[in-house]
Amino acid sequence: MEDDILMQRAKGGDHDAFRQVVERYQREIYNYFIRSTGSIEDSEDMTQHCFVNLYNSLGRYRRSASLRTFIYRIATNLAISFSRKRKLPLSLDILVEGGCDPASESSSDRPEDLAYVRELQQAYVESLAKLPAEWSMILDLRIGKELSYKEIADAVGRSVSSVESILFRAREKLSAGMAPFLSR
Amino acid sequence: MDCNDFEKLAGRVLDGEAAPEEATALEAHAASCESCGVLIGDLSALGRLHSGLPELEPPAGLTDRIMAGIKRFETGRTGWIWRVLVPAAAAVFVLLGIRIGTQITDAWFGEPAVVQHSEVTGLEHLDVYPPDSFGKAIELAAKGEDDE
Repeated sequence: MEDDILMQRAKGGDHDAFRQVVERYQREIYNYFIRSTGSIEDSEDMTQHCFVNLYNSLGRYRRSASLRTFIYRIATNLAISFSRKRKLPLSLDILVEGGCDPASESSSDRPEDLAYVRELQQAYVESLAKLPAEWSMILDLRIGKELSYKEIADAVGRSVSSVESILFRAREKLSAGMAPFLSR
Repeated sequence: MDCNDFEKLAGRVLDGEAAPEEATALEAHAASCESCGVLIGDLSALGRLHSGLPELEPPAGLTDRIMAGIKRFETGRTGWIWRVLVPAAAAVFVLLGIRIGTQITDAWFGEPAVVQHSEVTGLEHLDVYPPDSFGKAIELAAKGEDDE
């Protein structure tokens, strides 16, 4: 069933329809929070919070808007607010320890190649964690979630040109952090 | 296209946001400029690294916990009716009950209503007793005694 129909039913008090929305989007929203918090517990709390906020915003949802973008807008606000309160530097080690299989990234089975891929991944998540929170979120919305510039602009409340500029600077900074591994 | 233009455009091309002619110009420049060719290769590699980041499975039962949170939220949203309106309505009913009860008690057991003097002003010219009444006869008899 289409998002719009589910949302209209949810507006009418249909909890099963809203449950389907949750089931459809919770995984990607949870992972969006994982990449912005680096914490399983915080990501779970924030995912719950995000969907409660979505439920509370049912009246503001319009058919013309993409539900996915609408949810990411709520999620981004939560993630930015969380990052402002964070006292410790962000660590995304969970992405390397938690499930990143080096073998899936490497065409080789040789231990030294797998070790290199692991090292590369570790360096990448460390560089990603050093980016300003909003930059890494925008980068993830573009590369990880494949949102268009316009959708990202709607989700983060910026102009398209601002999104483009942030992506440019984020890539520049990532390239600098990854310089030892890159061919330049 | 020079190398500065290339650098600015590279991200848009990788993101699929550039116009077809921009993408063609970028490819042509990358083919003729070694450092820009390397740059686009590096940016692509970064993109692949990011795309390769793992997606973790949400904890089991997350959907149920989210739906339970929504029920709690709904209860909280309507809870003020029970916390504020119901006690207020109860208080109004109690006060009304006391008022009505007092009126019923007065009507049944209390003093009869006293007609205030102000309510009969303008009738002073009338005799206290009707002309053929027993009271009038006594009054006239008393007057006669005085006359005698």
